[in-house]
Amino acid sequence: MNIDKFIEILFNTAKQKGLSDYEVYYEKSRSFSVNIYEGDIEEYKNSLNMGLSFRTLYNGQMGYAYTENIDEASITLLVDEAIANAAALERETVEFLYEGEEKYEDVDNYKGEIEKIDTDKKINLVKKIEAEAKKIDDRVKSLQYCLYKEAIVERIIANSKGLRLTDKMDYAYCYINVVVKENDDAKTSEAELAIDRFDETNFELFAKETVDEAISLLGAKSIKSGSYDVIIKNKTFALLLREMINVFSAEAVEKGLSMFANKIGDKVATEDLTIIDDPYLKGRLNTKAFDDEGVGTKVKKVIEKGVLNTYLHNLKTSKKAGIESTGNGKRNSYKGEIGISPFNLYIEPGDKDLDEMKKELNTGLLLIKLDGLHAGLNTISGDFSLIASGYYIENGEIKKPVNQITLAGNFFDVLRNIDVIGSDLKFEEDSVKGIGSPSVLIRNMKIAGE
Amino acid sequence: MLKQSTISNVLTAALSTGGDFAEIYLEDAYSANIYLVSSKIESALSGRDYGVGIRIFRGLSYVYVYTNDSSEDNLTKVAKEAAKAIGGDKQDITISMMKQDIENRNKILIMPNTILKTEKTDFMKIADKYAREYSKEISQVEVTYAENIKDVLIANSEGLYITDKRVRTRFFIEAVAKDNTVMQTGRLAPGASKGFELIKESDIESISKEVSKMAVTMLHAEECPSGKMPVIIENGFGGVIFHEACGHGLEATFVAKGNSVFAGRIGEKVASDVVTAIDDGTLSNEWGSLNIDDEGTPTRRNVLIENGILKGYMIDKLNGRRMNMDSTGSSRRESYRYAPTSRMTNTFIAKGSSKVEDMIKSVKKGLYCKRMAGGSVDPATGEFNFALLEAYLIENGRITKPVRGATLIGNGPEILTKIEMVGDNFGFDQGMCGSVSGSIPVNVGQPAILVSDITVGDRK
Repeated sequence: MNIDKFIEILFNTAKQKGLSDYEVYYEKSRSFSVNIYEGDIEEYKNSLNMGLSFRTLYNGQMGYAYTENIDEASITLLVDEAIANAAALERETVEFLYEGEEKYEDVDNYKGEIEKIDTDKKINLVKKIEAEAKKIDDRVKSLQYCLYKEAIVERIIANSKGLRLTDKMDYAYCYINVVVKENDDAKTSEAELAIDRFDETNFELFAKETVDEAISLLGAKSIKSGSYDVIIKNKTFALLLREMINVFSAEAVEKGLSMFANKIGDKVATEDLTIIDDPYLKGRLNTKAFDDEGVGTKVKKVIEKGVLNTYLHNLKTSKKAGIESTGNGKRNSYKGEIGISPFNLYIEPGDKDLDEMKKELNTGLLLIKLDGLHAGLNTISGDFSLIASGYYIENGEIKKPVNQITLAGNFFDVLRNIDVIGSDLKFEEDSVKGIGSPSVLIRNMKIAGE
Repeated sequence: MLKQSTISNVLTAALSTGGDFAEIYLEDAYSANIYLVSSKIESALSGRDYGVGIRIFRGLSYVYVYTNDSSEDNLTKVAKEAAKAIGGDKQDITISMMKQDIENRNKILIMPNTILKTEKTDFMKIADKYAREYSKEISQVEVTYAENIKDVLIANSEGLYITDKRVRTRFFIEAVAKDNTVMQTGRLAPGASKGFELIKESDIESISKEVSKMAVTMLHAEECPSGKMPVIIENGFGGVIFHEACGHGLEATFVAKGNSVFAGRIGEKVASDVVTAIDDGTLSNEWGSLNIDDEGTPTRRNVLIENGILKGYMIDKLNGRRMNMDSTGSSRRESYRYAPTSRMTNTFIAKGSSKVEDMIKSVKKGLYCKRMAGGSVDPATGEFNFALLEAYLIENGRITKPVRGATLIGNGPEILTKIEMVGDNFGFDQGMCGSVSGSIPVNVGQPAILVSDITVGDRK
């Protein structure tokens, strides 16, 4: 069924059931990916996917239901399930629908290039990357993944208050995972490369950097337990920050699940640290003019010079706090409810590059990988104990690769103890949020090794 | 569901170029979740997942396409696009389909969607009450209830046409204990291939109290010492160590391309004599069980390691081609959005003969890990780490005090050779396993095991 027709029938059915406030959130995506192994296409995926969420006020609660089948039968299911779910709820603060704004920021996140480029060209591109990577060094055993992926995603938000918003975005990237082997020692290295313009992307350098990293880790050994000064590399620190991101959510604060509760205006980090959520950053995956509730997005500094400035809010939490929404009402997908999430949240970079930071470190560790974030990090307390690997640095130079060690500490202590913030800002992005960080130097971290 | 003639036409379209095998997977699933926090029902979500995946093989490559639109016109169009992508010249393949019946080993007593939501929220509130009653130090309790009813249809160009209904129910209880500076959590999450009878059969009171006990015990625990030491890993969720550190390395997904440390080592000794490990998808009503895998192959009991000798892998159709081996009924996927690949079902270290008391007595200074939290592993190297939810120090053959904040790190294959004792107290536990083909329900399991030394990392 045509989506406009479907929404029309759905809204009519809702009205007939006596409902007054209801909304549809619809997502349609077309994606394509290809994975190359030993010069051949190993995996080729093409998809057209739709999902629709319906939510309605019933008995003073907001009930949700979703479907992936845009057919007649789904209309009854959506309305009945949304009502039954609302009836089960006991929320103290209830969501409400938004009528929209006069004007939204002009954000163009649809590049249109991937639709113009031939599929064969994209396939040849990844074939070339694989061949290139294997040529660099004969210790390259295989590429577990050598993948190209692209997607075009459209959104519709429409409700009984007259709101009707649509947008469209597209993205493309390559991902490789290289296995290198020397004697019995195997190491892997993975990397992702976002493609804005095919002709301007340096794929050779991407392959080379990834292979070089894996090779440089061969022969890695543990080191003596103790206290070390460490640099955590940009994307690695971004991953840690991403896991902790809920501390900024007003919802988590309300539920007692954030250590930043009652800390607005307090110094929670080193003076050098500023963290910004900027929904308008050019070329980022999560650059958007409005959030999933239809609220216009805004740029805000959550931490400014070490001081906690604001939480991230959606309509519900901001109403309770008596302030305006920060425009961070987001869903993980059409299957979920409105929650809270940043768009492009990042640590403002400093002015030292990685080489200068190594000099500043003098002797210590450069950590390029932290594993076990799901299990080894308590996202409430901030305590972590993570498998780390990287290099031992002496006199500002890489001395030897290091693995089988754990880095232990507490995220909130780390924020206070960052000594140097680098200039090499990089983002880790998924379909909900992008988190960015430069490399950071932290003194006196606990390392458990031999 | 789809008509046989539609399936036949779509498969024919899929093989209109050089493909030598084509498969259709249709899924129509209903799922519902309810979540309680701060003693209130905070969230209730439900909906319908629906889609069709079409897969074509040509030798060792494959094409996978999926869509939500299951009209014959659209499926034929999508199948033709996929055929174009795989390329080559048409093979001489005739498709004659026969509907097959399967024995349902996972019988459902009470379909969960026939129970009112109020009955579900009632038990959640009872759990919340018991968990909070346990101690004043419990500051927060979360309870989640989840049900899933999934109808699948799988058909392929070899003539297979089979359907299955998969019903799963699970609940999670999590308690947070807190003092001025520290928060600690306890967590249990039983699940089964059962309907609402899972809830009726469970002792909600004792489960809730155990969760709170875990949190409170860890609140008063000291920081765990670090270094290499002997470690006893208790039964049940302790099996996650085998799952992560060895199980993934025994999946054809990693073995076929030689990316696993276990590749090409069948018949070799890979573990100490006391270790036998099995993946068994046939166990009635277990969380990781299936009547058929997601390629329509009946599940089996696959012996992976027997008395320390590597016996077999978990294999799907495509990787089986690369390895010249048959499918072991191990092909799984989260949903129609994923092409299936070899995954685990109920994976466990089989029961041994040692007593836990004897294990503890044999340790001079070490760690007793009662519950693991979870972990991750690099299958290429076998390097792993696991966080501990509940652990105790062993000193001079006795458990002395609870310790917290520890992780176990090491190398999976190496640990296998260091298992010195295997207990007689077998237990299963439930988890969701995330990998190439999405997140799927699996059981992990083992009796208590004693490992001669593991590196313990911590905050000290």
